[in-house]
Amino acid sequence: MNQRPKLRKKSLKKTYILFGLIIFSIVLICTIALHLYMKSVQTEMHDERSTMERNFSKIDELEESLQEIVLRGRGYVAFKSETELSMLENGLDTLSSQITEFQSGSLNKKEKDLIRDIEGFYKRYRYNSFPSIQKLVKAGKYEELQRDFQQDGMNFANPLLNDVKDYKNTYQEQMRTLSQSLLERSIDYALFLNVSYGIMILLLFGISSVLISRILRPIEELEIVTHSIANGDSTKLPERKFNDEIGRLIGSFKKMTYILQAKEEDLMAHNQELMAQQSELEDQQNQLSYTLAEVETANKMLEELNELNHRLTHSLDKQEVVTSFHGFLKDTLPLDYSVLWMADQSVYASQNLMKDSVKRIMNTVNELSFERLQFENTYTISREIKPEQRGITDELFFAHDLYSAVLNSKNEIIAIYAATRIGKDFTKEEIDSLNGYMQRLGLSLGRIEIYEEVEFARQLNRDIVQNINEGIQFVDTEGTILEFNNVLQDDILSSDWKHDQIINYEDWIELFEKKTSSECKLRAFFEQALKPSVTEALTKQYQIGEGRFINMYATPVYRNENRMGTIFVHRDITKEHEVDQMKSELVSTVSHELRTPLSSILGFTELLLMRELKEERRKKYLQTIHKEANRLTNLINDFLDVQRMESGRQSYSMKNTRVDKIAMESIDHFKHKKDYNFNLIDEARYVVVRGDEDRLQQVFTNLLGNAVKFSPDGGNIEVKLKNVSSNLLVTIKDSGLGISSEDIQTLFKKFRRVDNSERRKIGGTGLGLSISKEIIEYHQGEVWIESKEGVGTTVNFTLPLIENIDEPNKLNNLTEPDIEENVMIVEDDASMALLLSEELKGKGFTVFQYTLPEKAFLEATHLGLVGIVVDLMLSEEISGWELIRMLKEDVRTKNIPIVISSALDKEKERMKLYKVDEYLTKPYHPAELTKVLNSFLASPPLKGDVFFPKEIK
Amino acid sequence: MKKILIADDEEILRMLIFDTIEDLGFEIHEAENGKQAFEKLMETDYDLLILDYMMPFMTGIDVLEKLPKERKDKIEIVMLTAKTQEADRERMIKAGADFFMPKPFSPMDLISIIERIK
Repeated sequence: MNQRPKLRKKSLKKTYILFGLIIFSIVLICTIALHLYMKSVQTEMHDERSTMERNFSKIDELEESLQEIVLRGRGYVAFKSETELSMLENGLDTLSSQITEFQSGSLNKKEKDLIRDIEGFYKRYRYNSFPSIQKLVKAGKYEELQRDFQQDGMNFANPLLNDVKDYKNTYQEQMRTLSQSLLERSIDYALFLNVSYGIMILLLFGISSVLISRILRPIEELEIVTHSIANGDSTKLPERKFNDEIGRLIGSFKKMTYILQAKEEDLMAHNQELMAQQSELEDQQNQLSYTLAEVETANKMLEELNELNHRLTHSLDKQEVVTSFHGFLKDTLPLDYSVLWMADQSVYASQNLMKDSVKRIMNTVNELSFERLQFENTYTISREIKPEQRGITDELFFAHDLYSAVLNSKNEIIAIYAATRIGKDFTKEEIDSLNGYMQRLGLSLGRIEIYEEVEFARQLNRDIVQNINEGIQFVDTEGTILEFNNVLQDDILSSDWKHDQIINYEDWIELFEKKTSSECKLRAFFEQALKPSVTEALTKQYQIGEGRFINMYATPVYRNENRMGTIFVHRDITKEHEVDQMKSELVSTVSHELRTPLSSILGFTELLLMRELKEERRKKYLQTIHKEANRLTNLINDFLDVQRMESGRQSYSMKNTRVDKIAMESIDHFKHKKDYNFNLIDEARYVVVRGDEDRLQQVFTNLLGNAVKFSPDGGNIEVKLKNVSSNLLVTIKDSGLGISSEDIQTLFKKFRRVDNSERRKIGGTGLGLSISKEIIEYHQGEVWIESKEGVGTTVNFTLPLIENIDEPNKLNNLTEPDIEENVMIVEDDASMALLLSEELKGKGFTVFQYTLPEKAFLEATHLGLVGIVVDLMLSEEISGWELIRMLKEDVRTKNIPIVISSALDKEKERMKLYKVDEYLTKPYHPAELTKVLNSFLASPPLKGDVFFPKEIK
Repeated sequence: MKKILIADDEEILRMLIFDTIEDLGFEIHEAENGKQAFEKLMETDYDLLILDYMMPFMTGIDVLEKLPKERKDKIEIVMLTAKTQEADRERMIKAGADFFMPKPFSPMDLISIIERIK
């Protein structure tokens, strides 16, 4: 705490306030005094003036009264009137009172004189003149009166009036003088004020400068002293007599200076001490430098050894170790030639030696000195240099060879060092340290060998893991993946992850969860499998992507009873899963499909057993049982077919087969179906394929059966045969329910229909299509389906035609392709149609076969036919004759020759009516038809109006 | 006379059921598929329905699920089915089936069920 000086006798602030106050008071007093003085002067002058004015007016009145008296005196004298006399008397009274009044005011000498004269006049006039005049008037002595009055009046009144006049003039003069003097006094006063203010300012300035100099000077002095103190000079501080602010400042400054000076002295003392210490330290440093130099030398040696160690331990490459070790020896021992090599000669390092020399040395030493090295480890040989090798000197020269072996832990030689020095033998120290180095190299090489073995084993393990078909991951107890293989990476893990990367639990489990659906609950499984308490293997099945099924098992891995982690193996079981799925579908389907006929068989059998039945009914039941048992057999055969085809054990008996025949026979089986119109359109010229007739029939039956099933309301089912390049294209078209496009994809899969498919509602095993597909594909054909819901379905399949037929006559006669004319056969009896078509195709015609007359008519309009063969007994609403009528009435077809082929008798009338060209009565030999058609070709139709142009085809 | 509807796509099975129950004193109607069965059920008040599960166009379940509840409640429903799994049965019960006749079934069992209903 700073103690403030208690005494504060003087304060500059107070001094200046006091000074200001004094100045202000003086100015105030002076101003007031001056003002009062001026005021009194003014009043005095004002009084004087008013007195003068009063006297003046009195004198004025006196003058007036005098003149009155004179006037009335004369009047009286002149007219002796009493009125004049009384007025004169009044005048005299007035004058008397006026004189008294005038005398009561203050009067100066002149006025006093004047009033005394007037008083004199009055007294004389009143008491002398006036009574004498009165007497004279009363006496009538006018001449005397005239004279007296003249005398008196003139003598007395006139000089008085003149005096008054004089007085008045004097007065005016006096008034002017008074005003003048007032003005002069005012000017004087203003001047005095200005002068006195000027003096005041001067005084103020003077006093201020004195006061300021009293403050500034000590401050200036202080400043100079401060500078000099700052510069380090010791200067006496100025003394201050007053104990004011500056005085106190100087006092404080003094104190501060004393403290600073004391501190400085302290520092100086300290500095000297430090200087002494420094010099001591410098001595010590010098000593240390000497020691350091010694240590550095030792250090350098250590560093070299360290470097060697470093080279030996930090590399796992033999060549690198050998090279750097050899380099180290080269630097440490002065040598002329040296070489270090692995005992198996795989790696070496040398100095001043050619490659060939190195090879030679290695071989020589390996052959000759191996045993000695194993026994001795290091030995030297000194040999004399032959004279011819000595060069310019004749002195005896020796070369010193050193051999040293590096041994492994099993005491086997793994590396050999050979060195030569000329002139200087190896010292014991050198050999000792060399042996030490060699031991280190031995350790290092041993380590490398172990590493290589381990690395090889590791690589082998990794190769095995990577090349396994299953996904594998090894996870430690924390859940971190330590190892995984490519299969797992491709399926689940991020492709960015490296095999030596450590992958955290959350990272990989997230990927598993992302790739699989949440229903799989993989996280829960992984967590369970990683629990330390779980010691047995766990399995789990999950699904990734589009229907890939993975079976995963987790096995804990132990080493010496310590849990190391868990291995997870992910096996793709999609194929097995599909097979499983199919098997269960098969079982379900078989079970269902077998139960229906079984129900009938068991039911009817039960009725037969339990009830007394009529013979008729018994027979019906037995027939039904028989039929259903057959159905059961067929079903079982179907299943067995599929089974056989799947396992590739289905046997086919392949031979040249006519497909049109099979088509016709198959259609014939469905003929009895009500509500369905089967129509075969055979536009194929070549119909022979290499195939199994029974199997192909199965295809037709299956496909036609499907068409029927898919047309619950009946309708047209069209089978068409056509040649497309080297294939026979068969299309079976219905106008039934149709199949949605997504269902088409799965149609050929076995049992696809089971349960949820729409087709399930149709009935049947659903095996038909897949069996058909198998059969067609066995025949090297293709099958595909086009369908539109609500419009119908078209099943297409192709079968390759036989191109080179060895025995043409037995089958189609394809050697006569020159005819190539189109013929239409409208015939609903399959065997007849087949017979005719076989004949005509054999003769080179292209046959278009139709069973439905409407269809036949429509086609006939554009096919370009050379003839139409019509059966009269068609099962359709339009009979043969009706068709002929339609053909003949249409301008496009009326010129086509028509041949009737019928079992009915010839109807000549109608033939004539419809211009039918030929009538063949069944049975007839098919060759006859050919003959007829050939005759048409030979002689263009004459009966028609227009020649049928052959070009139109 | 009480009315029975036999709904089965297999003609032979319909015949079997018909012959089995013809002497029991019912008026017997037949339906060839689910759609037909549904239409008949909507037209006529039946007392008993023998319904095959697997039928074209509309399965037995479809028929039951589509049939209004008040109609269903009035009819005793016997399901004929080759499906014997528990889940399928549950589905059928849920849809309103009262009895099951697993295929192949015994006509005498069918009679005893119908007798019970009668």
